[in-house]
Amino acid sequence: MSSMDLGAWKAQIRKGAAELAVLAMLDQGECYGVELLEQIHSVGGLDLSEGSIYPLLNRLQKEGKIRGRWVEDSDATHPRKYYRLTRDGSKLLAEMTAEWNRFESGMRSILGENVGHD
Amino acid sequence: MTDAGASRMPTLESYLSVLDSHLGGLSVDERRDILMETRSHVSERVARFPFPKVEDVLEQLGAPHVYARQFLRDDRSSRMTGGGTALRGLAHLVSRGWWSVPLLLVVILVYTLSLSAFAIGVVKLISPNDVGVWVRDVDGQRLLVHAGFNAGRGGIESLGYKLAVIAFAVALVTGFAATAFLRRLARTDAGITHSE
Repeated sequence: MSSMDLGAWKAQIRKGAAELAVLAMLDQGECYGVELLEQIHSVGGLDLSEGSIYPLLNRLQKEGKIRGRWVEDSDATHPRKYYRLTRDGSKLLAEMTAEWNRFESGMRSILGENVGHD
Repeated sequence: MTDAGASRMPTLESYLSVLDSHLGGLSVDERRDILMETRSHVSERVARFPFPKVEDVLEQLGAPHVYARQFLRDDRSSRMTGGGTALRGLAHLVSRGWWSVPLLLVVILVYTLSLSAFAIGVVKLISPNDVGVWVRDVDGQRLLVHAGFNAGRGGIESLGYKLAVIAFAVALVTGFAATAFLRRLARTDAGITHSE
């Protein structure tokens, strides 16, 4: 696989995982965009860009999976938009987590078998 | 706000202005929200370690027309997902095996009813005498002669254009009911698959 193919492949994997990661983080409590980005970057591996997270949040909100509200925090000079999961979002998170676990366990068993043949 | 921060604002304002001009197609509320959140994001980032410049934060977001395109693309994908769920529900029903056949037949029946009612409504508007409910007065009582397409059995057509209104209402209700059922089925699709 060329480095360009690898880049596209990584982008595809990250795009799918980003939605699950955002839902999982919001499941732990309300967050605004920069907080979510910092949490994701602190974990590493996902590499969700600043230009991608807000369109993703916007879409999830339109689909009714999350709900946003503007808050004027005392420690900030600007309003922040906090997001939280809706009931639909929690349901989607549960479904995506189950699917992710199935996928991960399948891949782990395939890759585990292949390690011995390398 | 510091003087340095104030001097950077034109850059942010011009970015927001270009961004706004590329968000056509989204609602006014949504555009306002996107612009507010972009402004909030920039303010948040420049106030946090390692205190980047506004220009650097905007560069991270990407060129305004490219950034706008992501919102528009997600908007289209969101609408397509919504519009396609009924079809996905139907595909799901077809692929579920023999036990889903009765449900599939019910769905087909309801859609057929919806289309037939719509057709009756249209025919009634175009050619009022060709479809209706014919009755005859016998000893002061109204007896039904024929309902449906005009079979030439005489009598008086009793419903008139009310039939078109009733037919369109039935078409709408049954059509929406069947579509809502298929969409619901599509939404629960993933859950059913996982439990297998």
